[in-house]
Amino acid sequence: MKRNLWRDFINVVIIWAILIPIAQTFVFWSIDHLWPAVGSLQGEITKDALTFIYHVTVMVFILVTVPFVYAAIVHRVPLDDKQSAQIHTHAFSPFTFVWLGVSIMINTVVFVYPGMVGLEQLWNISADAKDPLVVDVTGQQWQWSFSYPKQGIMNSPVLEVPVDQPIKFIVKSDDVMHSFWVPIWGIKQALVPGMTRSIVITPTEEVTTDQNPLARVQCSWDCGLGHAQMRAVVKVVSDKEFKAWVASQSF
Amino acid sequence: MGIGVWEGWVKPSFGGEETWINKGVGRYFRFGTEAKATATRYTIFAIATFFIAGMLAMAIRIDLLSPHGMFFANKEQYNEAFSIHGTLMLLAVAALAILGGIGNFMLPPMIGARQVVYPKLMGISSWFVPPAVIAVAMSPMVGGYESGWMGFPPLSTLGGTGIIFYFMGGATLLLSSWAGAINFVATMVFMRAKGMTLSRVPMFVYGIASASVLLIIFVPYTASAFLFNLFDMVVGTQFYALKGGLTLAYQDMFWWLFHPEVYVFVLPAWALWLEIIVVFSRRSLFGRGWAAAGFVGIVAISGAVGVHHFFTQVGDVRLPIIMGLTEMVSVPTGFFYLAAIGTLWGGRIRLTSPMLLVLMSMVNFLIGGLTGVFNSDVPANLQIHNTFFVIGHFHYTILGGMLFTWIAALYYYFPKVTGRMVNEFWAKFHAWWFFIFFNFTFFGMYIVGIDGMNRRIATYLPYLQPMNEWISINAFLLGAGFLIPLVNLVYSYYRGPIASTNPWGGKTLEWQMPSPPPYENFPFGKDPVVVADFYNYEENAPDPVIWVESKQST
Repeated sequence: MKRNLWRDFINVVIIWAILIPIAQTFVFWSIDHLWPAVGSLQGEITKDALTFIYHVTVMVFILVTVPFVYAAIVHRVPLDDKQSAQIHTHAFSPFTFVWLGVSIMINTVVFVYPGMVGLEQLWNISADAKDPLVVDVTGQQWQWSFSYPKQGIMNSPVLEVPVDQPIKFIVKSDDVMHSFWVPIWGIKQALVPGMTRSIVITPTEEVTTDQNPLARVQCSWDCGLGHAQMRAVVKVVSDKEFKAWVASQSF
Repeated sequence: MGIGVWEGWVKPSFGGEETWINKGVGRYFRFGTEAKATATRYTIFAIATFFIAGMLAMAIRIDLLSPHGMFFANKEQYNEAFSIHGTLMLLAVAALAILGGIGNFMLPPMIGARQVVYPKLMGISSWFVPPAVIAVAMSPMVGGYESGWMGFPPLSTLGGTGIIFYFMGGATLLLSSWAGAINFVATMVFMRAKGMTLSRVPMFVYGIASASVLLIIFVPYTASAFLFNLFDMVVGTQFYALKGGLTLAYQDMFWWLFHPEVYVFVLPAWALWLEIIVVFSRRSLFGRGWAAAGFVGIVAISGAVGVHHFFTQVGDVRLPIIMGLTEMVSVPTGFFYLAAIGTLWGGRIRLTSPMLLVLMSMVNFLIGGLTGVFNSDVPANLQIHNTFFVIGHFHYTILGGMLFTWIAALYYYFPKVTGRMVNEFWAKFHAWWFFIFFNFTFFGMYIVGIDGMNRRIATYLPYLQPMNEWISINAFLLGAGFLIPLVNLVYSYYRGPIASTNPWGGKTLEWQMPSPPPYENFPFGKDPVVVADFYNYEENAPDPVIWVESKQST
C-alpha cells in the first residue's frame, strides 16, 4: 500500500493550525497571570525579551515536534515488519531549503529584536541617566552593605531607594564572586573580586520585601557557606519618604 | 601486580615477553588491550557513578522539600553534595558513557577494524576513572568543597581542602577523555576497512570524530586551569590569587573547554539518533550531507561561544558578537532534526524501545535547546542567569538529550554485546516513566527559576516551597525508576531470550559481527570491503559490504 505523503502533510498543517493558536493563547494567558511582578524599567526590557522568546520558542517547538510525532504514530508498522519504506527521496530539496531559510530567519529575528534592541535600550538608559543617585554596593561573605556617598550614609544593611529615578549601583566584592540581584528588578550584575562594575536600575514600583519577597537583594553567585542567606531587605519608597530616611540616617 | 601491569608494561620494558589476559571475566578487572572489555568497563563505571551521583541528587531534593533544609546537617554538606553531584555526572557519566562505553565497543567494528590503534592507551584511560571518581566522592572526608562543579577561585581556594581532590580528580577524568579521543582519531584515520570513504562512514563515526576533535583541542586549557589552581593551593603560586591574580582567567579557561564539552556529550548522541532512526524506519538517511555539515558547523562554532557564560560578569561591546555566535549554533543543530524528521517521514517505523527513547530524546533536547535561546539572549540572560532556569536548561540537554540516547543505545546494542534481548515491555514501561517524570521534574525548574529561585542555595524563601515540593516528589519517582532498567539489563543478561545476529536489521558493519563478538570482532580469514552506502534501504539495494579472503601476513 502506497502512502499519500501529501495528504499526511496537509494533516500536519491542520494540526499546526489548531495547536499554534491554542499554545499562543496559553502563552499570553500565562504571561498575564503567572509571570512574577516586574518593578523596574530594565526589568520591563528583560521581561519583554523573555516574553518574545517564549512566543517564538513555543511556536518552533510545535512546528518541529508535530511532524515527527505524527510520523511516529501514523507511519508506524508492527515490530516484525521486514519491508523497506516505499518512498525514497534522499533529499527533498524544498523541505531542506525551507528549513534552512526559516532557521536562519528566526535566528536573525531573535538576535535583532530582543537581543540587540534590548541591549541597546539597556545601554541607552544607562548613558542617559544624568546625575543618578549613586549607591555603593559591597558584597562580602555573607552580607550586603549599601553606602550612599553623596548622602553621607555608610554601610546601611537595608537598601532603601526612591521610586522612578535612575540609580547607579557601583558593585564591589571584598572576597569572592557574588552577584547583585533584586529579582523584581529583573536584572543582575556579578561582583568580580578586584574589579569595580556598575549597573543602572530605575525602579518603577513602590514595594518592600515584606509586601513582595521578589523585592529582596539576593546573592546569585555561589559564595560558600552562607550563600543562601546572603539577602538584604529592599525598600522602594517615594522621593519624600526617601529624603526623610536620609535625614534620619545622618548624624 | 595481578592486574596486568607487570605482564603488559613492566616485563616488556625489561625485554620480557608481553602477555595479556584477554579472556574470561578476568579481562574486565585487569589492564587489558581488548576494546570491548574496556568499553564494558566504561559502561559499568558510568552506571555505578550515575547511581552514586543520582543518590546525591535525591539527597539534595529531600533537603529542598523544606525552605530551611531538612536533610543535611548543615549548609556546608548541602554545598558539597551539589558540587560532587555535578562533577561526577558531567565528567564521569556524561563525558564517558557514550564516548567510552558505546564508542570503544562499536567504533572499531563500524569502520571494519579488528582492533584500535593504541590498545594500551585505551585500556589505561578506562582505569583513570575509578580513582578519580572515588577521590571526588570521598572529598568530604578531607574537607569537601563548596564551589560547585566549576571550582571557581577565589571561593575554591578559600573553601574546604577537598577541592584538591576535585582538581586532581577532574584533571584525571579529563586526561581519560583526552587519551580516549586521541585513540579514536588515530583509529578512524588508520584502521578503516577498504572502501570506507568519507562519504560512506556511518554517522556515529562522524559524531565520535567531532567530539574527539573538540576534546583534543580544548582539554589542555581546562586541565591546566585545574592544575594552576592546584599549584595555587599546594605550592603557593599566584595564578588566580585574590590579590594580584586573575580571577576571571580561570572562568575563561574553564569555559574554553566546558562549553564545547556539552557538544562532546551530545554530538555522539545525535549521531546515534540517526543510526537508530534509519534502522527502525527502514528508510534511506535523509540529508546525509546536511547532517555532516551539522557536525562540522558545531565543531567550528562551539569553540567561540564559551564567553556566553559571562554576560553578567563583563559588560562591553563583545556581548553582541557572542550572543550572535551562540544563537547561530541552533542552525547546525537544526540539521540533525532535519535529517531525523526527513528520515522518519514516510518511513516504516517500528517503535521498539530504542526508537521510542530516541524520539523522546528529540522532544527533550528540543525543549532544552529552545530554552537555550533564552539564556543566549543578553537581556533575558541578565534576569535568568544563575537561576533554576539554567538548571532546567542543562538538565534538559544533557539528561534529556544525551542520557535518554545512552539508554536507547544500551538497549539497541545489548543483543549484539551479550547475545540476548532485553525485556521489551519493561524497557518501554521505563521509557514512559522516565519521560513523564523527567519532564515534570525539570520543567518545574524553569518555573521556579522565573519565580526568583537562584541556584545553589540550601535554604529559600517560603513562597517557593510548593513548586519545590512538586519538583522533589517527581524527582524521587524519576530516580526510583532507574531501578527498572538496572534490573532489566542484569536479568536479561542471564535470562533474556537468545538474540539473532542482527535482530534489528541494521546494515552497518557492527551488525555483521557474531553475537557476542569474538576478540577480533570479525571471524578470521575474511576482511570486509565496503562497496555501497550503509544507509540505502531501497528495495533490492546492494549489500554495502563484501567479504574477501584475508591476505596471509606470513
